[in-house]
Amino acid sequence: MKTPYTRLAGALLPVALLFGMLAGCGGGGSGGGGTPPPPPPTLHNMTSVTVDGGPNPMAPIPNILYATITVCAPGSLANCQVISHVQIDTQSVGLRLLASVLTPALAAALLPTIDATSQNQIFECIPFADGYSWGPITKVDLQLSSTESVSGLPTHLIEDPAAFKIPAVPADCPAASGNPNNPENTPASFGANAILGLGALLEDCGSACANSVPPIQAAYYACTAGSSGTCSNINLATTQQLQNPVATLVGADNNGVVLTMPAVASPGAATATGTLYFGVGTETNNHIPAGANVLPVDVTFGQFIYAVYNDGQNNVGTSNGALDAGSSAYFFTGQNPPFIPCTTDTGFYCPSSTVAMTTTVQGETSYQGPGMGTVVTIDLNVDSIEAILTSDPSLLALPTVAGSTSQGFVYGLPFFYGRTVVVVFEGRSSADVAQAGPYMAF
Amino acid sequence: MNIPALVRVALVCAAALLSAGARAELGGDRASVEHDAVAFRGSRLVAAQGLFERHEIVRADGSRLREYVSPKGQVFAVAWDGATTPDLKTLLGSHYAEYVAALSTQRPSHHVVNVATPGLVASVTRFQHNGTGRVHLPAQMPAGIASEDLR
Repeated sequence: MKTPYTRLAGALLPVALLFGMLAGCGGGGSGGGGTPPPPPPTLHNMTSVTVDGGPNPMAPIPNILYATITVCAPGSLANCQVISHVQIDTQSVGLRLLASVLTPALAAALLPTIDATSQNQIFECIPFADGYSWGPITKVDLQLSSTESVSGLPTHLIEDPAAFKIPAVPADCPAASGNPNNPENTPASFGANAILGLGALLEDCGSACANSVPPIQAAYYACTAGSSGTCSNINLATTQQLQNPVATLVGADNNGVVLTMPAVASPGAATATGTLYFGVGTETNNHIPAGANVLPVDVTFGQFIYAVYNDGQNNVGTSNGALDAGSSAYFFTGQNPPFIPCTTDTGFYCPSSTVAMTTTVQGETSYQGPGMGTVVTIDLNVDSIEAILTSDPSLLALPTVAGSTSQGFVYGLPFFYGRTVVVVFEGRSSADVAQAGPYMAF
Repeated sequence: MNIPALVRVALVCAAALLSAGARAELGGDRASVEHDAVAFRGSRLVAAQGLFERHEIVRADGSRLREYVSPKGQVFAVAWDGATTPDLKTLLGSHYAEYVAALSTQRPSHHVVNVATPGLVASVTRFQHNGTGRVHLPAQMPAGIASEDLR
């Protein structure tokens, strides 16, 4: 069943050595990491995922889903670290780690990768709605569970130039974000110690970052070394870009992920714990549920489905939609009334009573294209986030919160409560469904 | 009534407009839109939409920047979508400081943020490959227009 993974550039450790190495990581992984093979009925292609408020107990964040991973220096048997509060995202791709949470020994061992054209260091910018992150591309050995690992994974190391003696962030990076004043390089500003992007694409940028003339902005750069180094936008081969960590797993479980979350009753719960399975239809525990709806996602951005919604007051909108475990609420353009803007939780809706909405979604194979295939109805309720948190501030898993966005319908983490959501990656397929990825199913 | 007929359409090559107009920003005048077209490297499509003019600037990669001009000739709202997002500091101009100050008090939210101050309402979505957003000045909105009408 194990096949050597040959796509990444550079030398790969033999599989047996890799597993031996990971077993030697201090306290590594979620399954105990024993070297003898586990009893046959016990599967370890999974990890626990939890909504618990995040890395800072003094400032808990609702509806963010976290996992724990183990990261090692490439090829090292001992230079490893267990990292908690890694945000799980289904609408980005790749592992991004805050360098400030790493041990000095591990941080020192994670060297920048080198651009073949310029022989300079490869850096990346990731613009977010609430800020941006900046730092070099490095490689790590990643262990997602006791049996799921990849060596030499291209990884974005997020650093503060003042602390890590790296070049200052180029101006086009913050300019592409929604908040150019917020360099997200601490757990507090990032909301996590790392992010694990498990979206439907194989790389975080793809051909747009490999072939554009001129190279696109706010993406990949080649930088000369040191704090006075200078950076230029570059094209980068897709194999050197940030890779989808699960798509690069050694073995058969690299075609997608299955995310199962428990139902959470309104108004919410202090915590919610689910399971993230690696592979789709590859083991007995990661099948696409019988009768699940399969929605192809657009090939341009690898994310969009076609959504139509009705807020119960005959206000109907149509637009692109996304199934996004990395967003903390449903987001859409809601008309007031009934979607009264909150007074302190800016951007969220605070209706005076529960609003029942009916939405429908279809697959969508091109950006802003027509809906494709089966029309699937998704009913949801929206309550006032301020009323919920005023009555019980300890609630962190909130199934009925929603906010505003200018375009599109984002089915954030509330959608995932009580559901099993499947992502099958581009160019991959599952024996469970007779169609190729990229698609999402639930 | 938010889909009025196209009354007038003019396709303008942005490169021809390099010398025209004042500094571009939200709250600027009609001529400032031409500078945004140059900065965004797109061609501009102007459509009268009843109570306002919509200037849509389209890049070669399909990204769109829309600027909404009131009958008084003022840019009262901007919106965008696609792979290329505009530089907000330039686009928001004198309103930029108010925008980032309002964001500074919010919880981390990587994909969607919103701002609502007395002077400015903004909604920004940023995914890895693309983004959308809309910012408007409530005090400058023509009467009878809601932010949902700005498409």
